[in-house]
Amino acid sequence: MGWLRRLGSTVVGKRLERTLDEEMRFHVDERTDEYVRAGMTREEARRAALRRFGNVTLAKERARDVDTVRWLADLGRDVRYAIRALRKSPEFALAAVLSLALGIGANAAVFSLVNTVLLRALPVPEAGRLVAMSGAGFNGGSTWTYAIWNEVRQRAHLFDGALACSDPQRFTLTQPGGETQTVDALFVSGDFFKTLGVPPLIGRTFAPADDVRGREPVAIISNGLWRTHFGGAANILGTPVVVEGVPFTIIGVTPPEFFGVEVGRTFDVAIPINAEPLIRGRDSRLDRRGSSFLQIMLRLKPGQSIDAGTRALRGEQPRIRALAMPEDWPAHFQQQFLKELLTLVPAGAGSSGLRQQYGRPLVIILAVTVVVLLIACANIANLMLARTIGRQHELSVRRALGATRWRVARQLVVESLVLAGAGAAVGLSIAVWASRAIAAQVSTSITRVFLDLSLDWRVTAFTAAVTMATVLLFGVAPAFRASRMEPIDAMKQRGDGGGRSNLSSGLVVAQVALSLVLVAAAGLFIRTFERLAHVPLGFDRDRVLVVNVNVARVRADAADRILLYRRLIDTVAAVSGVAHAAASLVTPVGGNALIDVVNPAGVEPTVKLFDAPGRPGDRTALVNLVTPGWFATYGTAIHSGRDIDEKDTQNAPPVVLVNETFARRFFPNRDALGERFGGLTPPGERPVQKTIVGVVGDSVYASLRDAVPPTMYVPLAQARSWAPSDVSIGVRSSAGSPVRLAPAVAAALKTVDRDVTFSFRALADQVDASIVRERLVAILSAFFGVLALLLAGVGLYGVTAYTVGRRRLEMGIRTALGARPADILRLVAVRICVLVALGILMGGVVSLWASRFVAALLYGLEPRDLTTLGAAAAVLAAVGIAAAWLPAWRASRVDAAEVLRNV
Amino acid sequence: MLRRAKKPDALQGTLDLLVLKTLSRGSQHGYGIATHITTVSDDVLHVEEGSLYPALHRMEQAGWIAAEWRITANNRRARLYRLTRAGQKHLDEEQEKWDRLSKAVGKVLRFA
Repeated sequence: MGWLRRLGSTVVGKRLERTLDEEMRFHVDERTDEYVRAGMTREEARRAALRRFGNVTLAKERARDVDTVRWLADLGRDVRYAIRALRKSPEFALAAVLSLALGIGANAAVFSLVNTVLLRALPVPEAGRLVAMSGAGFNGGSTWTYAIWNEVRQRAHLFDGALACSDPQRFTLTQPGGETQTVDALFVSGDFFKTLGVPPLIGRTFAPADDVRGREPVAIISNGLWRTHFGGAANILGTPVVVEGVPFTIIGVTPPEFFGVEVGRTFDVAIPINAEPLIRGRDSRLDRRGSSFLQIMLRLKPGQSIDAGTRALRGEQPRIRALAMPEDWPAHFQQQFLKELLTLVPAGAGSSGLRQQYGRPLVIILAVTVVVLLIACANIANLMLARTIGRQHELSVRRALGATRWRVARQLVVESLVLAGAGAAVGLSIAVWASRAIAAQVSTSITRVFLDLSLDWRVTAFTAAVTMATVLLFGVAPAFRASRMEPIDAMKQRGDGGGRSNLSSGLVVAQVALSLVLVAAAGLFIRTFERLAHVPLGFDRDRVLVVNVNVARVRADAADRILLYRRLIDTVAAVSGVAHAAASLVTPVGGNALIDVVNPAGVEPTVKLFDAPGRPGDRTALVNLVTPGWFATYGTAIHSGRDIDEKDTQNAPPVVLVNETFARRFFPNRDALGERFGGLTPPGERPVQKTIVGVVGDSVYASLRDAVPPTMYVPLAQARSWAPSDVSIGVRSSAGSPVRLAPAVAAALKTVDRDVTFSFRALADQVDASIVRERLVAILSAFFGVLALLLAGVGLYGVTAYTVGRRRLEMGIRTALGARPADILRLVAVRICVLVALGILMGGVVSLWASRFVAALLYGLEPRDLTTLGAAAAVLAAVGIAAAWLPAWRASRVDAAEVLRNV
Repeated sequence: MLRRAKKPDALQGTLDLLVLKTLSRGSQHGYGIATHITTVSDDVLHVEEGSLYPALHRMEQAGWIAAEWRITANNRRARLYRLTRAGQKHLDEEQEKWDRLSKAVGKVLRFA
């Protein structure tokens, strides 16, 4: 209670302090005078007076305590009284607490996600000094080649250190027993942990000497893996962990709060970048100067601004670029590579693909929950107003007994506080659960999402602020009204309740308007999701199992790899229940893309990539490498010409299939079949012209949202000297779900070569995972839309019932004078209809205005889609009329005789 | 803590009684009250004078006494306390209780 007392003292203390000071000084002065009169010197007299007075500070403190005690005792009384008053009307209390709990809980839950994804700094010391290196064009601009990193690393002294790491890689971890599990692994630089300032939990972190090629392979494991996989054993150091078949020696464990630098992901194992060739073998990216896979972050020196950092980096840019130049690139690309500016961007909150993808939706959903809370507050304000009118007698008696206006108002504010406090308490427990449930929706079989959603000071402060705001919103108006109560009102039989009517009508209009906005938004998001879910795919999503096959560890050169793939495909195709099997480099919406330039014969060749994609004159096309039977496997129709076949090998004339968009774009107004075109030519190879042997139907390539791009399908066997180390084998089931084929396919693949690693994924899952964001936004907005409707309906019901109740006498008289039930009904209904119509009108205007903020999230719809808005208005009108019907109908049945008797 | 405010202990009750009694003779500032109590109790009650002020403050909160600032004869600002009607009532009750108690104690002592 000590802190509470101190808090109370600071609140009430100031004036009392001055009074006590002066009063006590007077006392001591008087006593001193007395002693001086008795013959002491002034100094002696003063000392004696002080001695007699005793401990001044203690006296002051005691006096202050008296005040605090009173303040707290009053508050305690008010709280107890409030609880008693609320217990007298349990339905009201329950309805209020429940709607506040839902409103505050939803806000806290979504804010908790916003906080974790958008606001919170990385759990490392002085995260504010971390910056990320960013470029512009190549590879999205945020990842870098090992060569670039190598040059930056040697210039780390310009800063307070530099670090690099890869995205989490899905690698297999082999248990001592031989069974495997998939883990997230990071390739990190030798000074990754030191530059971040992350100490080891046990053991040590990497030293630069660990990140050197050919060193003994060492690994650091996360706290999570240490606990789950190694049972938290203290003697873990020195034991091996087998990643992708390569044994690494564990040298340390990271602390539990550290998850890497990417918010939304986590890692199980960290291994030095220079150990990458051990895992990828000949496909290592370290020496490929065109292969970007590392994020580079720098720590600014204390006091070094981000601009100063960027200047320092740009001073070195020409040499960094020149030394890291991909020698085998066409001259045109090399020019671009040299010119592209290096920039530093703040990275104190880490990097996050999740943030880019979910930042805006989260903010929109947060706005939605705020609106839901506003609607709930309007409801409670209405109920509170009605209650205040009902308690007029009680309140004016209290005034008559000497309570000040402030005292009466305070009592009501305390009641609001008790309600809001209870709502917030329940809301927070809802929030903890709900934020996890929402985050779980974001995880897919493709990407494991990890978010640390523990309540921190920001979430707590936000919830407290929201709670206080609700008290202001719903508690102040009734308190103000109550403070205007006069003692004389106690003498009156019944209050007239005038003025309340306008305010509560206003609240109802606002509720209807806000609900319409939410329902309209929900409609837009649901239709967006529905449209995306029904985009013509151009392939069968439900019949195909995708098997990602990796042969990096099989010792085979390029030509042998093609043969190996052929053997794997033939083996899979022979499994019973498999209709077709074929491999491709890229799978639909699989997240990868290959790109090439199209130079038809007789057209000036171009090497421009990334130039205004989709514009007239754009000559880029997307590429997939496929094996014979791929179109049959995925269910994509061949409109004319033929499929590739076994005879289209390295030594045969180069052939290609193109989709209809491709044919239309590059060979307008003629048959593309038989036409020839060239593309980018890798250095050291002679240019080739491919012949179009078939035209296939359009099918989605990378994203359901994008229009189908011009696409060409090149035989995997003709992919020149380059044979990828991993491909995806599509397996088409002859009937039913393809997922049940997985065990048989796995067994078959193992018979071909034990060193082949593979993983399974249903094509349908892959398609669904690509629209998980839209699904989540649709679900959440629908949920809150329904909640808003419900709250608005309850509000309308309450206000109608109240109005009708007040006009009972009037209704009775009208009935007595000959009004029929229908007339009474009309009387009430007209008023409600006007309110609802006003609300819908205002809500419509707000919706049209607010639609601009959601435009980026919509697909196949105009943000100002009038059909959706109209439907939302209809739904709201229906709910409004339904909610008002019952009380209105009851009013029309008023028994005139009974009412008049009771006057 | 809340409870302590409700149930004053015996000494506190005694001090209250003395203060109220003193004030029943007329308005007085803290210094005057302290001096008066010391004088009439023949210096038996050795209460630190400072402890008077929390008591005064508490009784003011309870509504038994009221205070206002006045300028004294020697031109100092002093806080003058007076008994309120509620204070007078409280004093009467307490005094009656006290009288009964001291009578009882006196009887016990005589027959012990």
